[in-house]
Amino acid sequence: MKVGRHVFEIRGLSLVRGSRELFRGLNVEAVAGSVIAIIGPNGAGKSSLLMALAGMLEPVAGDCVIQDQAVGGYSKAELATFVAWQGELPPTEFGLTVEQRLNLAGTGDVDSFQHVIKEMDIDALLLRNLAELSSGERQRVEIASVMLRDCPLWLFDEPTSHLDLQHQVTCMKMFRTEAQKERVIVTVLHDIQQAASVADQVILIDGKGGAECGDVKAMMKAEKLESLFNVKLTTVVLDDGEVHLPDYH
Amino acid sequence: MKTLLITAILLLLPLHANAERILALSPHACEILAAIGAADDMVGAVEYCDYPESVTRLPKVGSYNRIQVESAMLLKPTLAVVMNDGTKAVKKLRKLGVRVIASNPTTISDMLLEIKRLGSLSGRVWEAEMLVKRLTQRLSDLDVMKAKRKIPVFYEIWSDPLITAGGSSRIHDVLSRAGLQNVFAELPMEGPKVNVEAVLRAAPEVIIVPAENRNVAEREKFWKQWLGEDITVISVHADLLHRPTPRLLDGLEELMKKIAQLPMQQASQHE
Amino acid sequence: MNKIKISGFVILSFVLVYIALGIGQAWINPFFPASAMEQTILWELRIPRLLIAFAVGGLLALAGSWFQVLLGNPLAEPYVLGVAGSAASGAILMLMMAAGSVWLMSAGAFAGALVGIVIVMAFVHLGTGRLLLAGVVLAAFWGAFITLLLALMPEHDISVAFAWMMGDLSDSDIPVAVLLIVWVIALVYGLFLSRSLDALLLGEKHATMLGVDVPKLRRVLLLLASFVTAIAVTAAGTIGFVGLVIPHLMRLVFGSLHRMVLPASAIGGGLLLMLADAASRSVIAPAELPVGVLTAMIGVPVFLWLLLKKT
Repeated sequence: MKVGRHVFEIRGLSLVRGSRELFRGLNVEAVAGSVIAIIGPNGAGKSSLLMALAGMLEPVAGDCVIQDQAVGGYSKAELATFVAWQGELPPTEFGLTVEQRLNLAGTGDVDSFQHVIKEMDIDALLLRNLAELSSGERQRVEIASVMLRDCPLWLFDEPTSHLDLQHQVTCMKMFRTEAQKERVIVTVLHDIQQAASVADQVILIDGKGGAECGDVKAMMKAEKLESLFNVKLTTVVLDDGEVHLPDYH
Repeated sequence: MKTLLITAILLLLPLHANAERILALSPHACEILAAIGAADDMVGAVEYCDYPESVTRLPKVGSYNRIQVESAMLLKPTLAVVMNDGTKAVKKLRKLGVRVIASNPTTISDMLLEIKRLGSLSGRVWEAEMLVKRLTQRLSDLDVMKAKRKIPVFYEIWSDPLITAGGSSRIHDVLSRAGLQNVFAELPMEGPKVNVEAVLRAAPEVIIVPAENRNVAEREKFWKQWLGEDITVISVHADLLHRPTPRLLDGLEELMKKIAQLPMQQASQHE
Repeated sequence: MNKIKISGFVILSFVLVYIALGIGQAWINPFFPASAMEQTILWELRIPRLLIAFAVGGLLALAGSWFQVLLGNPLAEPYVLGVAGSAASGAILMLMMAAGSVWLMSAGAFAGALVGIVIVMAFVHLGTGRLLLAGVVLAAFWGAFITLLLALMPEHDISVAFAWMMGDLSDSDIPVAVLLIVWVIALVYGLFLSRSLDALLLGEKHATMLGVDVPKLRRVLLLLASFVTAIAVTAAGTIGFVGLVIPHLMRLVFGSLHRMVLPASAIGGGLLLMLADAASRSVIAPAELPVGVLTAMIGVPVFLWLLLKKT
């Protein structure tokens, strides 16, 4: 599949969940080899935005365009060659092993398989049943499942929510490495520091119907973040940028 | 003398040559076949075939609704008498060359016809004719004993849930022959479930309780509570009344005698 | 490891077939029957029964595994959406209206099953949870309808109705050859779908993102599983347990991938039912136990033992 300069575009997107409008008029241009972070309060519509990009949620207005065609126009099989999605943890009632789950995602390339499982630190877990794993281990398996798909666009929904610090760092580093391979990574993140450190663009969804996308430096300003999350932030200026710390007292 | 002997032998031979090997696959088939002298021709029976005593020694090949074809075939039958011929086992038996007849008479008249039919099937035509003649005579004798007034009765097949004999049942036929009025005659089902209120509204004068697995004294107490002290409760032998066999007439007679002894009957006799 | 398990399974199959053919009221050596009567019993009675049991058991197990993945619920089994209930209703209705013909009861069963399938197909697009709810409620309806029929029918028909529902493998109005062909086609088609079925185990969203057309797969799965159940119930009545437990048993032994689970279930279900049927006509011979009793009596201890062994 030919990868153009633009991997995808979101034009005037408006999303609705049930009877509630999440946001309207979102515009995003995603260039190959970039990381886009989505941040905002709970229930704002971050996961829904990912689903719309993945073709699983139909917008009420606007569209998501991949390779000059709206996402809804592709068959599921075609779309699966462009987009990989890490979302909720899959159910475990049926006794799949880690290896079996990974094989469902992957394309059979042995070298990349070995590389991915080492990077996500799950090589010791291959023969274990998914049901026996901790939530952190299961989440690493899910991230690995995306990594095994050689698509231009990877979508992640809070990939670090169950991971310990070491693995969170591994995940962020992996995002940057993959971006260097011309991939586009769109990820929902709760940690604003992680978002600031890894993203090229940031999408802010405020949970009151507004959504905007912009360069990371422009979006990650203290005033914007404070009103987004309704918290007080202290800004610390470092050599290579700013750090925003929430006040827990 | 010699000719007489030879003729007798020649006459008897065909009877034995045509002897069927009969599977009597329902309790009433066993009883009727035994009653017409075909007990020796029966090679197999089913569960609950318990009368007469000779029948209990027959090998059992299942129950009346679940026939074990393999065991049945091992007995090399030529004829099978079943309750219902719409089952897979029957289909298999027919495929294997066994003649299968369904027998399930609903009224006493049907039962008499059935005796004749089983007689001709088993080569005991004469015995069957004789039996039917005797039974018919007995029935007309009993008819004379019939109650003058059609007393309304409730037949309690079971107490919990309350089940009675509907208009299409064998028991209803017996009650009619006894000159009684089954208060639930208009219900078409064979064994309909009713309730105490329905019985109250139907206003029977006599309750008939079959004595099988039942505490009749308790039932009497129960009905007296609902229908007043005037209600009469009679018990009868379940076995005698629940199968379409010659013993049905014993049951009928028992019932009619008990009815005849009731005070209300004595009173109406003198009208 | 898998090769050992598979060879063990195959050897076990042959042994079980030998036993199932031989036992009965009297033992008959399947290779050397001792008399013409034994020959007749073997060929006219036992072998057809064994083939019917094998096909029906396999079909029920396949249907069970498909319903489990369709509904995302390990407790699902072939009768959960009411197809067996509507089939039994059809059979019993026919019994009441036209007593005296096995063939009509089977036709009624199949027609009833088709009605049940059409009704439940109307709910397949609602999603897993709603489909399951609709199915359970429908099954309850058919159960009530059957009870109504039982309350109205003559006594001697009631026992026939119950005997039909408890399951009877002694004969089938659907020819044995047809049953076996359906078995083969169902298994082959299932194998063809197995990768999509594996993806569906991850949930609808993940399956969609792996390229599976989930709504279409659910429709196909529901039709396939229901049709196979309809055939099984028409041939043999409503025999329980096989469809629920055999897929789980096979997953415990061979893992959860459908390319193993489906053939293992098709054969394992067939073997269990075959063995249960052989036992049902031997244990209290000359009387016969309902076969559903024995599938549970044999299957439950084996299943529980394996469950304990695995943990």
